[in-house]
Amino acid sequence: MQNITIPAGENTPYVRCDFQKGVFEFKGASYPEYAREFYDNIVEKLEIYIQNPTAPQTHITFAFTYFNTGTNPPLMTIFKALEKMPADHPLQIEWCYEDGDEDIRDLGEYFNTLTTLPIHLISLPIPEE
Amino acid sequence: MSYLEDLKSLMNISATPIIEYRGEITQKIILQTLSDLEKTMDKLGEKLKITRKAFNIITECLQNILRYGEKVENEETNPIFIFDQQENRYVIASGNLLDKTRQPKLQMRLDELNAMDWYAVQEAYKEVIKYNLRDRDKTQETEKSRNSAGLGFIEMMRKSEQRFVFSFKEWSENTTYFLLGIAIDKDKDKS
Repeated sequence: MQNITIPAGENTPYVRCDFQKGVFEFKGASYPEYAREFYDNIVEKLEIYIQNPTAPQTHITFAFTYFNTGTNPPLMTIFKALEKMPADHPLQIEWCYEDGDEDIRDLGEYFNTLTTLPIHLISLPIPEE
Repeated sequence: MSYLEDLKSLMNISATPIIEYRGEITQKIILQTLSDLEKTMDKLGEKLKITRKAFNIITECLQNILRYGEKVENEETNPIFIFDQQENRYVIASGNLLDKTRQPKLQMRLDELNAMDWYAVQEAYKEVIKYNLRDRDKTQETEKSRNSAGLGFIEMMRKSEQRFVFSFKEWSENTTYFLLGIAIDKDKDKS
């Protein structure tokens, strides 16, 4: 499967899906009006990968600085899909939030408690403005 | 009195709000508004945390209008948006035409949220996420449900930590003009 790299847009995050290495990254702000249009292709390919992971292990990083509620549905679809990853496949999920950003942190905690996934919450320093 | 004046009166808007807009709401307008907001808050020396709260509420507010607003019938029923700085708070206020059949459900939802305390709002948010984490039947999804988790108003309230002020003004047999305001307390995040 062809890798995906999408640079950060005006209201969309940086996305990297390396299906050979099993490395996935979602970083930055995500507040498109029609979030599904942006995420559908990514989610579809990720779902195919999850059924039969081609990499020896999978590492996913979510590092959102902000996202709108419209981003929630595709994100939830990703988490639901990740729950179906073969049990013996090493999976690491990192949910990063900027220090003091309780809303993003809380959301990571919710996903952690509401799914069976091992989501590691990681606090990052706020970048200098 | 115009709906703009009604909204200003509802939320005690100052004579010169930071942003006052009346016209079509498009994705381009939303992005421009958010960009203006960031620049203004930066000039005001406002904390990043407060700016993000305002950014978040404005996004939800304007995307709601884009998603659910009725087609405008004339100049008077154009959507309106105000961002105002007051002594101890920032106010985000909007107005848009709405299909009258949506009013009872919307009113009930806002009344429900306004009756909740902070803990209950957090729990409501968690419940919606839990609901959305169920296996979705993709064949039953509509364009709106695919792009909305039903979290917009809860998210606005979580960020604001205050209650909604709202009013419905009948415009025609089938439509009503919906005025909505919410504030962010400046002092809450002083550290």
